Amino acid sequence: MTLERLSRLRQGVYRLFGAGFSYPTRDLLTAAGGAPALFEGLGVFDYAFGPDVHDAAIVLAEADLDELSVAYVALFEAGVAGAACPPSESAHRSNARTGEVATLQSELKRMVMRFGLRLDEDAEDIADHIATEMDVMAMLCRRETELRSGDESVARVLASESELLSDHLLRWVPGFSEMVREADRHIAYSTLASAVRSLLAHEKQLLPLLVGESRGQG
Amino acid sequence: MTAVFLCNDDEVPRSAVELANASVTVLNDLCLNPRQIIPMISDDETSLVMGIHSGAVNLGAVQAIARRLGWDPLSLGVFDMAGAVDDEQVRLATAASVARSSHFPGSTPDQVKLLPSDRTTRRGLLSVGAPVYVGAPMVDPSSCVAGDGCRACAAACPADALSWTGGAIEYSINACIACGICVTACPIGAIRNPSADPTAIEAEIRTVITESSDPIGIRYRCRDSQVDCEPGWHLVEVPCTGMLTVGWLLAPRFLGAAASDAVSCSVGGCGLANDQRLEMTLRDSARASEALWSEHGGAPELSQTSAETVWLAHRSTGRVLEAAAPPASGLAISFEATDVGLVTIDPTMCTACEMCAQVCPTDALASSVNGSGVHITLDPRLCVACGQCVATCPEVDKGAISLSRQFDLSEWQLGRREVRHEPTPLCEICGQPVAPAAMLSRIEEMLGEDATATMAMISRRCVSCRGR
Repeated sequence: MTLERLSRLRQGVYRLFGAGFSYPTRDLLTAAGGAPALFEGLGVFDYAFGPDVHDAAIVLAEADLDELSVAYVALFEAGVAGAACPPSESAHRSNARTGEVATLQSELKRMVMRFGLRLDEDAEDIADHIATEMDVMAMLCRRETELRSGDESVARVLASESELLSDHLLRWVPGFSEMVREADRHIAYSTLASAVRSLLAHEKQLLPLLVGESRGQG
Repeated sequence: MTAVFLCNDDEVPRSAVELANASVTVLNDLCLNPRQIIPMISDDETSLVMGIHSGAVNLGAVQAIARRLGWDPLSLGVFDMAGAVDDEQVRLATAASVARSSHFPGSTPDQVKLLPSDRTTRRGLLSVGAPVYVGAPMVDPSSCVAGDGCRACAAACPADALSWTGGAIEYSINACIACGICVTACPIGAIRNPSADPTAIEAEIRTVITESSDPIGIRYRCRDSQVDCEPGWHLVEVPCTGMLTVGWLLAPRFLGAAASDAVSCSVGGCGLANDQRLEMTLRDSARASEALWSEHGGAPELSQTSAETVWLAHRSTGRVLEAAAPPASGLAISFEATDVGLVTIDPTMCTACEMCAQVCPTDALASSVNGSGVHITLDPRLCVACGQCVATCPEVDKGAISLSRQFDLSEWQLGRREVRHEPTPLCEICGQPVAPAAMLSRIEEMLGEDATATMAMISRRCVSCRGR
């Protein structure tokens, strides 16, 4: 029961990050407004990342939409030499002139297909965007929740989560979140960046434990 | 102000516990329902201490409460009242926890270690309640001297969580057992573990000694051990007693404790040899105590008693011994495993290549070159007996350098001094030093008789001018 609750919590948190790093909308702020109570009900304070995630949801919910939109563009989209904090994995891990961007995006798309998921048409070109990667993880956590509620084996979905975490998220998101925190353009994004760093530091420890437990299910 | 909550689930009255910097509340069923404290916290309270019965409470749930209140759960002072035999022990344990909690240095998300529960079962991981976290170490890359050759932390880590990979010390939090051994192994204090902070631990010890009306002993215990507190003793929790040094064991005595010792968490061996490490440290500590007491003819007195001095900080052993030894005693103690060393250089074999100084992590050995030659100096106060100098010396087989684990007060009193001087011929073109004469002689010896022309060139011109 507790593990199911944990996967539901992780699904919600990844979903919040996916939405938080997307272009801000009124719907996003409304959804974020309900997140703190939802997370608390799922025991968010039981985990080390809890306070940071809880704070991020509150700050996001209370943000002014116009100010948030301006900050989003300044941080993640525009700028003299490009975005101040490019929100795509390829910007942090590959060289555009050698074709590595396309290679990395293809690799991500193939991986998502292997997971049994399919990217929306809109997301095809931004497969390596932080919001997309967070949404993919949220979907995997959702599947984990469904399997756990049906008392089925979660070993395979946990392997997918581990792969996405270690091969992609952990390789660039901590550095990206540090950039966002240092840029300090808007408290909502700085808080979101701290929260994502906190979550991933915890995921690095939690997933191996969950994988070990799932192998023991027999 | 610290909020203190004590469980009242036994017959010992707690009403006598009053502290100036804390608000103390005694609650029934605190262990069974720790959440009852949440509405009792006021805005002026910034840290939390709980006296509980360890067998009856889920520490993870208590940590979750701290998180909900906006506090770092690693700052939480939790002590076990089940082992306390009287009100005085409860009062001291409360004061000690308040002191340690108020000196908590803070933690980052990377310094939080998720502790797998012993009660984890195939289907029940985390199902026993909220997970428990402990502090994990973090290496400060800006002060780490691994790039110069230091591997002290990696060599000391019993879990292979620290390794030298790709030009830096790499840390695996999943392999780490958060024992704190790396914290005291680091010769320059570049590793911090919020659960093993020397300043916070020393604050606890000082408070207990000050607050105790009777002579009291300080006994370190492992985080995982289940030892009851005996009358006349106060238990100080450290992540693992394998992290203790002679300095950590002796410092409480010089701060006023009647005795100090340590207990391991295991009976049949901890599996990581940390208990054997503790045994060696205890033997070294006993050796040092015996020598000090003998020199003084009684209990030693510290030459420095400043409240600002943190005796448990890195390289504590030598500092504690120096402060406790009678200045004119010439005290010398040989150790089995402790972190105090004395380097000896044989000038007849040393070629003054400076490799030892380059790899010394603490700059105990340092070198400089000027018109009169190469000068190698030694400050014994900084030596931690890491052995890097010996391991790196190209002439070690000839006995050019040796290291002994010993404290020698007369050497310490000399301070930094020159241990090797070797003249260098000057370049006939630019006038800069060419190389130490001893090194040139050694090269000539290795090249043999046919090297006359080569030697004529390399001994007259520096590296920059040889092609001219």
